Amino acid sequence: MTASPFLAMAAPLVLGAAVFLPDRLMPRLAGPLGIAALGLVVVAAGGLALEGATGTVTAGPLRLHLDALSAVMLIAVAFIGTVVLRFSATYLDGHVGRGRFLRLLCLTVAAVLGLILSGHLLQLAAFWLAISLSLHRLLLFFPDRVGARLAARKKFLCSRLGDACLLGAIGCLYGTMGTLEIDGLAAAAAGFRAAGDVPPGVTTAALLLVFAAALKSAQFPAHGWLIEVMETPTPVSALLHAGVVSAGGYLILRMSPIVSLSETAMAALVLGGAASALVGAGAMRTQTGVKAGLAWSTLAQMGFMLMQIGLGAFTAAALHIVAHGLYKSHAFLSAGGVIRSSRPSVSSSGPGILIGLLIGAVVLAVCSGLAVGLSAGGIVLGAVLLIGVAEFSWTNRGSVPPWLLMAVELTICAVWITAHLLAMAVLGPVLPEGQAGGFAVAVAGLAIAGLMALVLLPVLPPHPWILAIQVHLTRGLYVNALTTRLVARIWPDRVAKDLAP
Amino acid sequence: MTGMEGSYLSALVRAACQRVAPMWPLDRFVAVNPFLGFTSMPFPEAAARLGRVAGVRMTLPGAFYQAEIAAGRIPESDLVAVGPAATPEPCAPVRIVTFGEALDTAIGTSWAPLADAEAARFTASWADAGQAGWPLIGREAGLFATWYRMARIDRTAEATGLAGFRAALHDLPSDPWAAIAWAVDVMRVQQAVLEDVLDGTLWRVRGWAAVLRQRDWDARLAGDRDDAIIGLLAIRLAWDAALCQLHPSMLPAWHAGLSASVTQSAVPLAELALQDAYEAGWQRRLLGKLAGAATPAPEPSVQAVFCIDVRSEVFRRALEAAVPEVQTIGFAGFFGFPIEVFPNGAEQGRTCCPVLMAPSMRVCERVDAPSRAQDALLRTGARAWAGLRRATAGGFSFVEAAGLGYAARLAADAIGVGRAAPPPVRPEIAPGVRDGQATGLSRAQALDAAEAALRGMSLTKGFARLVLLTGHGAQVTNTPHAAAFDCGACGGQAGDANARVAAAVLNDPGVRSGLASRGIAIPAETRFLAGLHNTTTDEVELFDTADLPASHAPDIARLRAWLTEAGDGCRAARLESLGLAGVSDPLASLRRRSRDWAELRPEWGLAGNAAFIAAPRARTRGCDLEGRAFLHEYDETADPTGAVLEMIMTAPMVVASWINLQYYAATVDNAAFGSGDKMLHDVVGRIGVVLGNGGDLRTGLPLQSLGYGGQLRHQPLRLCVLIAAAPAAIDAVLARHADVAALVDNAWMHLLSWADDGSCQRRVDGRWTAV
Repeated sequence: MTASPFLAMAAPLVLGAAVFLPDRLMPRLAGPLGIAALGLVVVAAGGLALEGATGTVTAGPLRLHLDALSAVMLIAVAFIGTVVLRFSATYLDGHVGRGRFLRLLCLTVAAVLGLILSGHLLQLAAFWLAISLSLHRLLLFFPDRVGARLAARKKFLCSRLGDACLLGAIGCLYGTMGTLEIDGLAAAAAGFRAAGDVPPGVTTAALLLVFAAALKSAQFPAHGWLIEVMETPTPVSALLHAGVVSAGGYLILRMSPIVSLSETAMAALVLGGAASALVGAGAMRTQTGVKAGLAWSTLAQMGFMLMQIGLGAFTAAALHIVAHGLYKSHAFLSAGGVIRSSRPSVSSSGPGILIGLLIGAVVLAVCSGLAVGLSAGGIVLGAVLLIGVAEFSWTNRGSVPPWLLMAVELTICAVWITAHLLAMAVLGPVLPEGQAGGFAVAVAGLAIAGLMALVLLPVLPPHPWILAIQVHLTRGLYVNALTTRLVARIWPDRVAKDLAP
Repeated sequence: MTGMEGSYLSALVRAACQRVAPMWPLDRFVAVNPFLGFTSMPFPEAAARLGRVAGVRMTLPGAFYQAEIAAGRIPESDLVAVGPAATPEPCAPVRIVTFGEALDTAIGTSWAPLADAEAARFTASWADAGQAGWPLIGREAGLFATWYRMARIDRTAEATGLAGFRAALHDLPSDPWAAIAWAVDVMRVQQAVLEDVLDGTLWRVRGWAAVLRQRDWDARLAGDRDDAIIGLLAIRLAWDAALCQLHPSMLPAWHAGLSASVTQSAVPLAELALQDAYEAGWQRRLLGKLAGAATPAPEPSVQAVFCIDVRSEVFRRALEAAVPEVQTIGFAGFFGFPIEVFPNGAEQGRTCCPVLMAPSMRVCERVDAPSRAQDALLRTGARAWAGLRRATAGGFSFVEAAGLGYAARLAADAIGVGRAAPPPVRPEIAPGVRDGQATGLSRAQALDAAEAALRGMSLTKGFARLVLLTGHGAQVTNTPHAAAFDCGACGGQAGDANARVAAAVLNDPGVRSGLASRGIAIPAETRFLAGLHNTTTDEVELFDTADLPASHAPDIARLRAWLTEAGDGCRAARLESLGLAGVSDPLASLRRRSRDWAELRPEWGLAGNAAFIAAPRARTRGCDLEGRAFLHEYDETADPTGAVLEMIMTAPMVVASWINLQYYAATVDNAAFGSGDKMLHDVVGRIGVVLGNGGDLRTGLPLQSLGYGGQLRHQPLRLCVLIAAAPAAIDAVLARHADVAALVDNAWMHLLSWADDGSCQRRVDGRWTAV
């Protein structure tokens, strides 16, 4: 019996104590609460590293599952949460709702930590719901704003749909496996895999889990609320984009033994993820608002992450969740400084070179990947990296000396590889790589082609059809407009109606 | 159909667009009088007009004044003095509505907000100054032409449920002027209400209209014109016309409502009277304070010139209190040198002069050769990095490669380290060449500017050994409106470069001999020194001290000690307003605050400004003006021709009025003239901010710059201008400048002539009456 899981569980409890604190104390205590929670999870992770994993332990009514995956996620979320809490204590100075805001932030972070640590699916579902409800209150921090109410209603509807999927999955799993313990489910899944026979209930559960995750991670076409949550103070965006939307990814990673049993579920992840990645990346490039661009970028990044999972690259997806969280929270919190930041470089050279570079990148990725025996998932990730490098070379070839460009690119690749090796070393034991099915690989191939097209489009001569693509992409293919209309129909804004003359 | 450009409609359209006050982009966000297009009419008339076309308030709500009366801050005598109408009656202006608004109210849709948001979103894409990685295609064709093409592709309206929108625009002409005429025709707008409809329509997109008007402003300074704002009006009118095509049956009701609004519009007399009484109280207090002032100063050993900015008043007072032998002087913070500065390796220059003028001098950064190459590489690197973050494909791998590193950035920013401000640019005044254009100052240019500056600051004799020219700038971080804290006279930049250019020119022996021949003899031992007052921390940095002779080293050392002492005094005076009363180390606290990325109120800027005084400092010295007064040096006896007075009244006084009315407007109606809550700001196109998800750009000051915890930090008071000059001399200037006279006579400011004996006369309706 080890103390680590209990120490980790103390972190959400400490943050949850905010419920009992009066408003006037919150500004002074929010930061220290966050730091205490961070300290607890770091010590717990240290204990885990020393003693090794213990599987699920029981703590009263709770089941705690502390392993390398949950430890890494706990540290990332507690760290980002602490920074966001400290930031908010100053940011909301002078606002009458500061104490309430900080308390809701504490509760949201606590709920995410609780979810990560859950060793039982029902417990996980409870925290899943708690995140959504406390976030709902944060989204309505400015309840007079029509846009805030609209975003909150969209989010609420998506979340409830997601809850239904999760509960459906839980029902199917309990029906077929007779347990909801994380350990027990993994063991049962291993049994099915060994037997080579997957009952339809498990396949259904896997698909429902994928849907629940996609809804939590605001995947296309249910992304409308995500790009509208700038209606609430910046720190909420920082926490939401960095630690909350990735809960969908975490769910699938946690359930990867089950989800990977179904080739259909894995292919659905690749398909939905690729669509989100492409639409998000395309829309992101055309946004004129800093936060708006960051929001679309989150859609793209979460899509890419789910695509990685669908391709069986589980540790890469976990790395993506953590790295994206750190990057995106910083980007949101520092969004006010854009005026004094550097403008991004632009290239003036023609498309011919870029086409060559892109094709070269993919050929190189495939050949070298096959040569060193990478999985399909690995080759796809390598191709995306090299396409990015090609884009970078082309953009900066006029302004940066070639030797420096080369050095920078090699550094990027080296750092990228190091990060992945690190992720594999830490998480590999708990997240064995999965296998990508043929359909998933084909979809990923199409996604690569789409990505190349996105890189190329701005460079091609401005034909009318390129303008058309640009206009449609800028608007995210109008899906959000349709969502707005749908929400207005099934859940009209009564407050606005009351205010109207 | 471009032929209509000379028509009646086009004259109205031009006039409506001219009434939009410009807004400068965030990197040079200077104060603008939001009523700029309305100063030709009296304040009450403008209030009625803006109430009618935009539904805005030009005073605080009656309840505010009632509270002031109850608290005894507006005495009965003032209420009587301003007239009988001082009983507040709720004044809800009857606003004219656009067709879309009328439609929405009637059938419960929200097409008008959609039209506003879509027009704003499109204009953002078109005007974007480097935010989007993939800019809008074909925008070189002009605002309206690009929209015209795009509106045939974009299906947002239909997707939102507005079926037939694009078809309704089928007959829309492709020329913006013709499109306006078409829309007016489709909606059958009658001539009597046309002007109001144009104003009301532009008001719906006032943020972007202000940006486009500013483009026109810049174009006009360069002798050109920019008509993009006409295109925006055409776009917004086309939306209403399309709605009208889809719901023609709504037209009669809309027309009826319009005529009703025109007849019902009313002047909010009660609130205006209360505002007058509120201002009378402040003026009496100000004059009372000044009555006791006027302490003769000893022979100065140092003269220190500061910007007229209200924040300088606090520092000057602290400096004079610490060191009686320092004489301080107020002057516009660009010190008479309208320069454009090119930092090493930068692609574009920074305009450092009042926005009323175009810069006439280009100066580059003075650097050594190796640093030149290094800087260029660093800048390229920073741009490449910024590009990588937002690359289409690179973004995915970038996150994985660099994301973990952001843990360090997060931690560093959270504790406020590692955000060093770029070092100040050292300007090179010697003539040179950059990109084929001459840089530096010619001898004649330098001499003229030096003479004008010294005469403008009434400093033509009695020079001290050391003359400090102190620009000012704010050290803030992570703030879109950072430029609003910097020097307005320097076009929203810190004033260090201007001060350094001015000091270098005034130390130049050739310039000095030229000045001597023009009657300004600067003693050989007098040296000019440039400094920068950091208004966030109240530290003063001195520049180029190594260029001064060794003989002045002791003077400089002494000055440093004095400035430190003055800084302590100034900080002590400011601490309470920043909620830092009682901290053990004020300087450390303020430094931390200036680096805190979460701080929305790094300092109070010009909040509280309420007076402009052009007089010798001796007449205000020793008087606590609470950081609420712009102080300009003016010696009537040294200005027989009135040329200096004319300069003061047409430039610094007007700028002070712009600042004052910017604060005034944002305080009385932030929804109309302010930029709302900073926590919801999203910077768009590197130009301005929107609130939340989008919609129109917001102009003016954010709520956090005006108050704290529900309390107003800025009391809205129209500027009280005191000039130590005879009424006749003031009248002579006003007679030559109708626009300045309009500011005074239409009650956009109060103007008082301040005689040597301390008595005052007020100019009301063109006549002077004793106060």
